[in-house]
Amino acid sequence: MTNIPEPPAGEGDSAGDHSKTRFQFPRWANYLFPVLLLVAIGVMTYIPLLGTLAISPDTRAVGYQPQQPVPFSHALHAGKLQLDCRYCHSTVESSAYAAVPPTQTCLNCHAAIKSDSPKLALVKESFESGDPLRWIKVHDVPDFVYFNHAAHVNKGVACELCHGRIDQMDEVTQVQSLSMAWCLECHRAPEQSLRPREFVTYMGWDALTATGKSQSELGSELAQDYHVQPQHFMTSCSTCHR
Amino acid sequence: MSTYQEERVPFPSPWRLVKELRLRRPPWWMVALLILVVIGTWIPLALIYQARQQTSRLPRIHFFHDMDHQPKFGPQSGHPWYVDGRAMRQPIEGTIARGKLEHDQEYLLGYVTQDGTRSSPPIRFVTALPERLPQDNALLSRGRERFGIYCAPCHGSQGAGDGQVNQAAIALEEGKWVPATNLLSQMVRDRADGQLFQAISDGVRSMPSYGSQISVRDRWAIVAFVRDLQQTLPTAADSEPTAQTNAASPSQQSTSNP
Repeated sequence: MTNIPEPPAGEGDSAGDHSKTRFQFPRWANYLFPVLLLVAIGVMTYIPLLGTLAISPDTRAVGYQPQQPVPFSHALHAGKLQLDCRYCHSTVESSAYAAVPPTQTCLNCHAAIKSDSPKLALVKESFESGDPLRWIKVHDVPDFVYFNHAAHVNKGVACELCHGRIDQMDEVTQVQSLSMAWCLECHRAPEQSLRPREFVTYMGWDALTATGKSQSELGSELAQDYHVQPQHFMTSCSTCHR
Repeated sequence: MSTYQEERVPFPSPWRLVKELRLRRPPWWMVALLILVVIGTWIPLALIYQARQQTSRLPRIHFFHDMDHQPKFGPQSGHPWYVDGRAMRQPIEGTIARGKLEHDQEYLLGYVTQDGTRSSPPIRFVTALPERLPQDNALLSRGRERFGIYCAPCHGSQGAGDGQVNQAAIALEEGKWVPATNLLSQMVRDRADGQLFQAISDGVRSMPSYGSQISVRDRWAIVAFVRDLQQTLPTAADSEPTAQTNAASPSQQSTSNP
């Protein structure tokens, strides 16, 4: 047990006495390499997975439920009172944009019904002053996407398909990601989603119970009737990006 | 430091054994750190899962802005530069879009006025559907559909005045609410086609104007559908204003509604 700072003569021979003077890796260091390898593999899998999940539109876009200036309930108006979507969003069949109705449309009924309700104070104020109500847009595709409501609704793409069960929502929430991958799901196989034009605003419509045909069978027929464009057009860049 | 293999007695003392195991294992804090890090990786995943389950008041985060928001005005968007806050300017009143000029007053208004302008009172209502409209099933089914959207909420899908909104308003005992007219009543049957059209366009009594919501053609389609309803369904005898006219229903109907 002396302190001789002498290098060992052979590799394994003189471990005994010199061991205290030299640095020796502890034994667990033998496991360091396999453990670090596993950790590296884990990190390399984890970081991309986390990134993908975090920036996925299913995480960021779905569930957006802004607070609207007036607590308008679609569940009451479209659900319980069974107002057709087009009563208010009357431009949807003729225009690219399904317009938010003017305050006058609210007053059609609310001039007499619940006219003194505090919930409708802003509506009344808007009608008297002429300033529009500033509703907050829930379903907002990027500005480089040219979505046309009329083109979809008139070819049998239902409201429900993109907007979900609006008739059950007190506050409108985004239920679909509205991502390009999601759009293409339907553009690649439109027959899986089409329904007859007269039922586009129906909620909870089902092809089999309503027509007795399977969705793909009915969809293929309708795609032909409505002259739905062939796939090379439907998946062409310039169809949606102009 | 020698290990127990080199000792004379090969069996380790308890003290030696503890020391030996300590040498084989990494320090406790390293193991603890590794476990913590592995558990820690679940936290972001849990947050993402939570974000997927919950609704959010905030709009989505744009990691890559690209051209998501371009400096242009969308439909119904706002801009602070304008006094009314609207990005879109309203057309000057009376502006007619190119190709939309319509001379046919009977078709546009459903009535004829003294001097041909809209502001003067009607002198004669149109008594038949305009000839330019196709008198076929397409018009009727269009009318049925439009009636379902705009009229049925109050007047009911069969025009009997039993729509959901009307029922709800009566159930709420709204003082200002005037119950929807039964379209099968003699009073409505007696009205000229043009008068029905004008009622849809400009409103009548407490009914608001639907001119901005329903196009001219669709308003005529609705009139055609209401006439069809009246032909197929029996005359309703309920509301007070029609009580007197009901007595003389067959003759009146044939004279006023050829």
